[in-house]
Amino acid sequence: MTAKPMIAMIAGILVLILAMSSVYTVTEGQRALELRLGKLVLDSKTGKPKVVAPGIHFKIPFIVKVQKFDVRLQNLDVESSRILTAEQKYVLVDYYTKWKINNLPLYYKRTGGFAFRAQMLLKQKINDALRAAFGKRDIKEVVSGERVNIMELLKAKANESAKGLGITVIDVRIKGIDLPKEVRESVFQRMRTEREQVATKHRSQGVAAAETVRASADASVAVTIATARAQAQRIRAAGDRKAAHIYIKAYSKNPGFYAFYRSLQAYHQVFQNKGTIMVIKPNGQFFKYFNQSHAKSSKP
Amino acid sequence: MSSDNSDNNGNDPWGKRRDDGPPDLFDLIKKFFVAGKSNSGQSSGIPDKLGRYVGYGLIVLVILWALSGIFLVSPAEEAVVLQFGKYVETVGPGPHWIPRFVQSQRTLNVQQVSNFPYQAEMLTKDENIVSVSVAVQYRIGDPEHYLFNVVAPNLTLQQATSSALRQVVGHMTLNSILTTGRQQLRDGAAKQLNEILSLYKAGLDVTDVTLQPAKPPEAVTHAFDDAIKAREDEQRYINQAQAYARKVESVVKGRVSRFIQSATAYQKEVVLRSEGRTARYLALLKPYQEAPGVTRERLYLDTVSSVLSKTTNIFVDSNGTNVLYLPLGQILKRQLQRTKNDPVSTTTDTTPITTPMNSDTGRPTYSGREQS
Repeated sequence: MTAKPMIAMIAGILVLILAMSSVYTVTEGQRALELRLGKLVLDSKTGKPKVVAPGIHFKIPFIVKVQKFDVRLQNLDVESSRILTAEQKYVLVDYYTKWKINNLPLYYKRTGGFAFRAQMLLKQKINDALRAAFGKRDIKEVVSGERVNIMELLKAKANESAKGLGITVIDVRIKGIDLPKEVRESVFQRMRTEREQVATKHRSQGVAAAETVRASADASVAVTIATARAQAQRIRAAGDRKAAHIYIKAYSKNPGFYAFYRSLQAYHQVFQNKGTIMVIKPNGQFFKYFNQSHAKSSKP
Repeated sequence: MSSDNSDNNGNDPWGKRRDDGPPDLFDLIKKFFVAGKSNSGQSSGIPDKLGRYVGYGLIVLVILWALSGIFLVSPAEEAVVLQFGKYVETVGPGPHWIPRFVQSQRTLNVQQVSNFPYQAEMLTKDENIVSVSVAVQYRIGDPEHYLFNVVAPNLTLQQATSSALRQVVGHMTLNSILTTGRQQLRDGAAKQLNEILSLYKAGLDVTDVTLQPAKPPEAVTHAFDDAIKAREDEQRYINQAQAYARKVESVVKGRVSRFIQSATAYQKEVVLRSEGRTARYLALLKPYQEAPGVTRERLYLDTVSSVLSKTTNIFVDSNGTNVLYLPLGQILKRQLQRTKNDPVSTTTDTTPITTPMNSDTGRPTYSGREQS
């Protein structure tokens, strides 16, 4: 009597296990394939392998296995090694690519579901295309004008391979093009030199302009002074002229008396101190009365 | 459940009336576990109790299950509801309920703005290197896309930022980036970034892209700063020279005015002096004209007496041909010595008619020198 519930319980558990094995869910962002004994289960309607969408699904327990795949946009980051440009210069290129599965059965067939296999193939293909593209162009084009074209080119090349892998490449983008360390240093040097030239040019321009201003100022000053000197001379000369006229006017009134007057002044001026020795004979008008009280000869 | 229910006064084995409405859960569970037992109506103690406990337990589990389905979405959040993994809907803020195990939810903050700063040295169009620093502000715009479209959406944004920025920088010259092209760079990068993100449908919204001023790379900042300084120096040299010019010109003005003033003063002086002197002369002329002989005599005697009293005089009164020895050198020395020792006695009191005059200019002699 007591066996029945036990059996029932065991049976219940078995049923549960069976049930769990016959139900599975696929989350959003995933897809699944069913494999029966290693072979893909086909969709009864299309005859093609069945691709399972998100939601709950049922299958034959144990015999059919489910493999789930991430079908979101995948990321592949590549830090490339040196790539040679057309000018025989090396650059360091980083790029990334975005790809996703668009043909799941084919993808599974080619890669066994291992994403890294797909990544490897993609990386190889893109690297080759990158080298080819850069090798035909110089740095300026690569960095600037042809940049977008190159990215499109890489994407197209990548998709050539991608088709055969059941994936599609949505984007290939160059993250950065950098110069190798040694080259950077020479670029820096070039930049420095260019700036130094600019600095020198400005400074020398400044000095030259300043010199011009100074020289011009000095010249103008010299001219001003010379003019003023000349004018001052003229003013003095005018004064002298006027004074001379005044003298002439006065002294020519009686030239004889003027001669006398002027001579007396001269005597005052010349015979001034004890340093002058007069050796005189005491005759002449001054000594007229010196020897005797009345003059021998009278002069007016 | 045994289909053979012996009629027990019209009741089922539990003692309930069969027509008492639908059997409750408790009863059903109990029935399930006690199935196959004898329908004697006499329930043995142990299975019955077990059934009851299990029944209770199940009820509790169900209640717990129901409660666990309640979740709260904050005002800044949204939640994505999946049924067995398949997307159903996105729900907004507020309380919600989902049946656990059948449905699941993922809640995301859609308003919080994250900041991604990025700084690097990169190549410009003219093969120069510039250091650019940018900050991208972003938040989740569409939770469904964010969760299910792209692997590592945040990382994707960072990659896209780097690529977009470098692309725009690569199309501009160094000079333009450092000076006039700031706005262009910022707008170009933002536009490119948005294009990329919408291509990927990553579910992220870029709210702002801010650009710090671009700088030349560290290794060359000194040279760049010096070039700027050189411009300033150039201006400074010119300013200094202009200041010099102004100063010199104003100094000259002063000198010019001094020249002119000095000349004008001289002019006046000379004329006044001439007028003064001639006035004196004319004043003397008058008495001379009235009495020439007397005036002459007077003037003559005054002058000679004044002169002779100042000089060293040696009167020689000889008519013969004798040779006279005059030690003039000694005499002179002695006289000069006397002058030094006793200046008072040797100066003469003169009342000259005129003051001693400088014969050249007709002006009095002064001790100082005059400047022209």
